[in-house]
Amino acid sequence: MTSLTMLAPVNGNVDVMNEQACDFTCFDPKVLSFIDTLSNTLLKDNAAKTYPELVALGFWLRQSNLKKIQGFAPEGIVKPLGWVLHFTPANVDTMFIYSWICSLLMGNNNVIRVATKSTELRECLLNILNQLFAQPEFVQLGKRNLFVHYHKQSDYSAKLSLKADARVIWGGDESVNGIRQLPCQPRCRDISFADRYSACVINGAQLTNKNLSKLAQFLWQDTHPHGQLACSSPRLIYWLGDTALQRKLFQQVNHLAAQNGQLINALNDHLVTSQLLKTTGKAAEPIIQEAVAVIPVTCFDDNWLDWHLGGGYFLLLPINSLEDIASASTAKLQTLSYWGLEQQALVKFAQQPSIQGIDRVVPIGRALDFSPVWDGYNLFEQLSRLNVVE
Amino acid sequence: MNNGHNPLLAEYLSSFEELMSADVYGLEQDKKTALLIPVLNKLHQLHQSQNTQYRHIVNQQTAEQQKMDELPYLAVRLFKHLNLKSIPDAEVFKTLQSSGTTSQTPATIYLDKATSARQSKILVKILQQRIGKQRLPMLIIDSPDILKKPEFSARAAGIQGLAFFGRDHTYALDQNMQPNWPVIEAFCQKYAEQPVLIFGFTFMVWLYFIEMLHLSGKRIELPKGVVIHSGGWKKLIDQQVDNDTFKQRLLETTGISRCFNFYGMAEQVGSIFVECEKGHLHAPVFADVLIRDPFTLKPCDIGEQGLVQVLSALPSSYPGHSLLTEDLGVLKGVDDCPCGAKGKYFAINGRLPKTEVRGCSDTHVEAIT
Repeated sequence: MTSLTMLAPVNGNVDVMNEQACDFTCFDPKVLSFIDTLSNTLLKDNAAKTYPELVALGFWLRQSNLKKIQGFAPEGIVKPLGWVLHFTPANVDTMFIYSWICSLLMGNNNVIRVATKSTELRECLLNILNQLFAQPEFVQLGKRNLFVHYHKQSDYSAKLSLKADARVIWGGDESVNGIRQLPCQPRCRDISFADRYSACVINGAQLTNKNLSKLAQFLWQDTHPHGQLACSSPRLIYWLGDTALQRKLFQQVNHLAAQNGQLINALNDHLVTSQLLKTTGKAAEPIIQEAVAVIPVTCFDDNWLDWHLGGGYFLLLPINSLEDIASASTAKLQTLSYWGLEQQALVKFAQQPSIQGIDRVVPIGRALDFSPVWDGYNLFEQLSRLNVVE
Repeated sequence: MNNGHNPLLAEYLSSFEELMSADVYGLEQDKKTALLIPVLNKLHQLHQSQNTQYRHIVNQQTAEQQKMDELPYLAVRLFKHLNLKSIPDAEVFKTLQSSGTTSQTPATIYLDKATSARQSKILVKILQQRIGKQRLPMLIIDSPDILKKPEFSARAAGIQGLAFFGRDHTYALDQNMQPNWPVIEAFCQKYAEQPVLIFGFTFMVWLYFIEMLHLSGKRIELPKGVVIHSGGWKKLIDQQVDNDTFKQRLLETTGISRCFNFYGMAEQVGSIFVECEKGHLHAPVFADVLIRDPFTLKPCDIGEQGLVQVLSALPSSYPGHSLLTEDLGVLKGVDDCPCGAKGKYFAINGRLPKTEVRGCSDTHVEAIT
């Protein structure tokens, strides 16, 4: 198991890493034209259209959105770093594209190590990339944007690390630490994304029979993709105030989950997680335990996340004020999505130095929207060199 | 936690005694339930009083249940994550580890002397229904090394449990899990005309014994032998070997026509579900089985496939008397198996597909280790 498989382009070769030059500038028109074609293909391709994750990606890659995120790019003389090596996560099928696109927009050459598990969604995405790389105008771009796979136990991570100018490492904590131990060039930059979890806060006082189904839809939209295993999907719900419509909201979410087609092992997994949580004495009987499960807890412990198996499982923690979140969350909390709260109140709240975690605060329904600013990093800045001319 | 003076334990033991005097397969389901339910209710109360984790899970539910399907149950996977025991550490006599052939994390089961003795006693009572009371010359389809390993695996426990039925215990495999032909041939020669007992784990009996005989063109003759085997069918199903194929090939290679599979698990050693002559798994009086819809966990009707819940009257040292397994099975009938045994009979169809824990943590770390 020591061979490297070239997933896209099919005739690619990692030996090109020996060539240092970059072909593109930041937000290069040739790159933008490629991304535009990719976006159009994703939104029109019959196979791609069946995956909400790929449709979301297609929309994210549209010119209008790229213009918006260009605002995050540094100003002045900005140059690519060279070769960026991406170690992408196994839990989010499309993440390797987001991280790659950010790097490509800065003009870098890229090698993307796609994680072990091959899924239909991933196959579909790689097929599309191969189609594009075969087009004459994108052949050159393809030569220096290589999607590879190799076995974990092979020494390719070590070999490729030696040639990288930056490593983007998505992982669990252990994977990140493991890869960072591999020798690299002295000036190589490591951008690490370690284990995180996410939560949402719902203001019960704002919930009505009228707006309830919209909220359920947004909440499920943040939960369902990638089986709730994306770091930014909420696993914990902070409930503020009035609980009159709480059960009804979760029944509605359950209804949406059932419509999506409940997996045969989902309920048994929910049962396992619920019983494990209950042994701590900090969890009550689940409010609902069918296609999704919601279990009230009296506090929150990071370690419980080891028991969380995704698939629509929520811990529900009642709070009396936003300030309670500070003590009922940890440094690993990445995204706090919100509903029924004023942005102003959240800005004030997020600024508190006592909050160790929380790198993103977004409305519920947008938890999975990727941004070049992620986990507190600006990827555009991290993946480019800023020149000073005086 | 002093079991010696626990009135709940005393109550459990006295209701268990009544079960002991009942016919293993002779009671109709309603009569059996009337005997078994009080025992299970007592175990439920006992574990609540002795085990905080169990008490938290069942929410201090004290009402006695009248129906089997109303008894609380634990997900069997809990034993992989937690050390569930209802006895003080000083009373732990033996810990059992599930074999873990397909699962990475083994389950750990804590036994005190009393539970362990009860398990052996009941195993004997159940298997005597098939093997008889006489100790038979015994061929074990395993390597003698299995008992030498420091951790007490479910495989070793199974062999040790069954060894009681045998004499002249002969191990058919060598250290490399290859058939030890001289030993096997000597055994066959010595006992050719006598009843003998052959025991092993299902996939090992198939792969290392029946298939090895078949592939090497050998044939042995033990026409009065009886084969007892247990353990997962997954590896065999992957090779498209079903129970009929298993029995047919066994007959062809050994001349043995009596072959009984049993369904059991490390989490409920002793109260096993043994196949009858008609090929159905039967619940003995000490145990029961329920099938639950995997999408609702509501009880299924006869003929509907679902998750198998197993109930056992035996475990007092750990809360394993009512477990929802991750096996898929189907109830075939109640009280009317053509073999004559009463109570429920069922079949195991396979396992629940495994949850892919695709968490961030499985991206890459092995590259370094």
